[in-house]
Amino acid sequence: MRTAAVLRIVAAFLAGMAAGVGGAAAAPLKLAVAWVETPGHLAPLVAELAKRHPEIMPNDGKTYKFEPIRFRGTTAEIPALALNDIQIAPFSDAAFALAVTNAHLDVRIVADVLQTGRKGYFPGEYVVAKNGPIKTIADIKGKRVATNTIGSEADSTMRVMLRRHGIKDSDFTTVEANFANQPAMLEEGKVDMIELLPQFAHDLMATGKYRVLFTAAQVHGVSESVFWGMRADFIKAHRPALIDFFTDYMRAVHWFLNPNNRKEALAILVAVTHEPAQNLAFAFTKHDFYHDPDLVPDIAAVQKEIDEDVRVGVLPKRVVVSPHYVDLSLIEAAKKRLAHGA
Amino acid sequence: MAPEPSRLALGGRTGALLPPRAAARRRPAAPLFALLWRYTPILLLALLWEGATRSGLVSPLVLPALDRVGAAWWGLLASGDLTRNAAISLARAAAGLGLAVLCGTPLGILMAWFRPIRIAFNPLVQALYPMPKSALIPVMVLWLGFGSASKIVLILIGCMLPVTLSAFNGARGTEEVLVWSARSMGASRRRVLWEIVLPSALPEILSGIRTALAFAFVLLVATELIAARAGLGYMIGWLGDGGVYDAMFAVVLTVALLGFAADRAWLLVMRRVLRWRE
Amino acid sequence: MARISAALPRRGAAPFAGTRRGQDALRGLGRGLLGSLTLMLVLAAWEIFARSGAVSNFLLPPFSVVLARVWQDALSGDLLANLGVTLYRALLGFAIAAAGGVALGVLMARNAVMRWFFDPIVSVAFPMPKIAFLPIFMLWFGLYDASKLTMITFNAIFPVITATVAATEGVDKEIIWSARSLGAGERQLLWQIILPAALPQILTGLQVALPVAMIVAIVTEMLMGGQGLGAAMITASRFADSPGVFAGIVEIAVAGLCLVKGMALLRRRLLLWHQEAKEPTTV
Repeated sequence: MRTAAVLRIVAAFLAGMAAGVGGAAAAPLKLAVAWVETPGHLAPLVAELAKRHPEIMPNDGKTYKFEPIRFRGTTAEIPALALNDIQIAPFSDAAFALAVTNAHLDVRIVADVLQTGRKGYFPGEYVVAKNGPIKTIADIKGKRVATNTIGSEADSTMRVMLRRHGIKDSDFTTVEANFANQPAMLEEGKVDMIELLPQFAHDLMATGKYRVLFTAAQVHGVSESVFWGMRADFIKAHRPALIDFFTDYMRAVHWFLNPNNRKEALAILVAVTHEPAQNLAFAFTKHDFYHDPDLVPDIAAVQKEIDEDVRVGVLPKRVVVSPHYVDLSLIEAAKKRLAHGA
Repeated sequence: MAPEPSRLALGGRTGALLPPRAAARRRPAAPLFALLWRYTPILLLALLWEGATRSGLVSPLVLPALDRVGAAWWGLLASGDLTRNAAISLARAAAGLGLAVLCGTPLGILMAWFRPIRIAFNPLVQALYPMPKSALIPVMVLWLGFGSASKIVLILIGCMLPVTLSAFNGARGTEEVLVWSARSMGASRRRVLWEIVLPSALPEILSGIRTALAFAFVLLVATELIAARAGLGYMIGWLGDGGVYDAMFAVVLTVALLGFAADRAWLLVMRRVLRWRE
Repeated sequence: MARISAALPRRGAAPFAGTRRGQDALRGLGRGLLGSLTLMLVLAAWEIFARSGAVSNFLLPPFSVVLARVWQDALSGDLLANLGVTLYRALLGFAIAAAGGVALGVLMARNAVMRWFFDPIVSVAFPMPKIAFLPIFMLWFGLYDASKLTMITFNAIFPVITATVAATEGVDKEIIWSARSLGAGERQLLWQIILPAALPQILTGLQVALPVAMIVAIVTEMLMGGQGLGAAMITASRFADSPGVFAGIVEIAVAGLCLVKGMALLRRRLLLWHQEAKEPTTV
């Protein structure tokens, strides 16, 4: 019968459409990865490397889609993670604890990003003018301080130090500004103390007019300063694609930390940051932040720092991270795959 | 209902900002010359600016030379950065304002027309009227992120009030006689609403949209300065942060002039619509 | 020289008949209760929706939690400190804008050169989103209160100027002529005739400027930090502290409401006198 034939054709057409849609629906997993500054955070450099050497991240565009997104600081990422605008967030200890206690997010520590305080590596510096109004830490009272974001690693570390000297948050003025802009603000006298990263240290310290007041290493010793956090439900739902990503990402990190690749690594860094090469000579050497080659975060250091934050009152509530809030299975799976010559 | 002071402050519904001096009304001869003469003080300011920076009176760090600002503006236009971000910003403002007009106008008219609706909404309006809408920026960012959604919703909320109020006032001012005569001729309530009340309220509504237009720009720029990833306000922020002051000045002036141009454009629309109505 | 206003016709005491006033008061009370009923309903809906679990408490904390936080802020002194700083900036900026705006407006209305020079500047600047100039002010005036105050004044002054110009020009010329013919000097003319006559419209301009001052104060604090309700809200959002963010909204809303209501009361007070002085005597 005519009608039956027509109906069968229509049904086949619709099925074909559905299959096509279904096929298209197996799209690569969107992985928006936040980052704050580079070369401290390797994410944007890895993305650039993958563009130049696709064999390093073979699954990018296939099982996952890697998308670095810049944020000014780690606490600003908490709402973005809550809204699922980003899938991987580099957190400071404080930001992670706040994500758990205030944002009620079920997050997991999954990988290391950078550490301070390791012997010989960049300690994290807080800089003032030599002839300025701040001679000792106690002088910070009533002054202006620049920070990348309130609650970030650099910021919360500073507040711990200040509280140890009896200075409360309300005793000084905080201004949020990008790391990159802070040296200019110090030079123009807009603020009295800044957080200095190694890539901006060269020009500023060369003037001889500025000095390091204290370092993050003095505050916390070895600190798991920034680490990757992800939502537990997301990890559970997309484990295979995530293992692909972490394998490729770890391969890229090994590439960057390999001294043989240094020349090209620096070229990539210059291309991404647009900074002059001589300011970036420190990168991937001992003068840089410490990066764990296998992305393993120092969980004990995280807990120690959270406890100290709570003790001095920078954080309102304590969180015990291990074992519930830690999930190192992704990097362990990645390491295994790389070891098998993947 | 809370008073609508902005209309008075704006100098009446014709939109003339400052009423012409009673003794000296402008003659219609040589309007172009009159226009140039009117804006000459601004030209003088521009010359003063250039003079101050050239002569070294003011440090170029603090006030970049006007020609450098112009060059920077040109560069931003050529690179496409300016048009791209301007398009994003203007789209946000238009969307938020458009939604506010769509929702606020019927609400205001209905509030004037039906007593229960007025009683229901009046206290909300009274409570929200004096609240600085910029206080909602962190909540919008919390709920809707850094993208366009938070800007559009904030502008919607901020612009609803002037639009609703002016629609309410305009509808309320409809001459009773017109309504009675229409009803006595058998027109339904709905027809009266559409064909008598709405046209009668139109001047007031258009004036309210003018106020809302200014609010939309203010809220747009404020939000983009504080929490955004694209748009003119965001551009001003990262140019200023990066110390590229001549470009920053260029974008600030662009935004300011866009606000001014939008206001003047709306005035033209208002005059057109009201003239056609006669 | 006797006060010129003594020559103007005066009015007797306002006829506040007791029963009329009582009726008005009762009606006002009823309306107030009905009004707060709707507000209560909205707040109750908020509370129920927030506690239902439909949205995470991070996105929408219950109203009771927010109120508790406001109370906590009040007890700890934080509320007073932050509110005080914000109000100080807003009101100081407003005061400067008011004084400067009225002065400039009167000058513009009475002096042709001033008028010619400032007219285009004011009319171009009025509809501009002046908040866009904030980064420039930060560049010029630093990151302390100076840039905030300048920004607030810069934003708030324009509605005052335009209202003052319109009001001053709108003063009935006859009154000015008759005062002049009675021998009034320029100073007396200004302070005893023109300004009082222009007062209602000037006050309207001030009523527009006050919320503007508040809005700008909060935005500058959000951008620049340094204590105040705006800065506290940004800090709360960094700490993922939604009750703090919402508490800030409530505190700002109440502060704004008090300011506007206060201004309205002030207007009524000032204009009561004004109306009395202007009413013709009944024969």
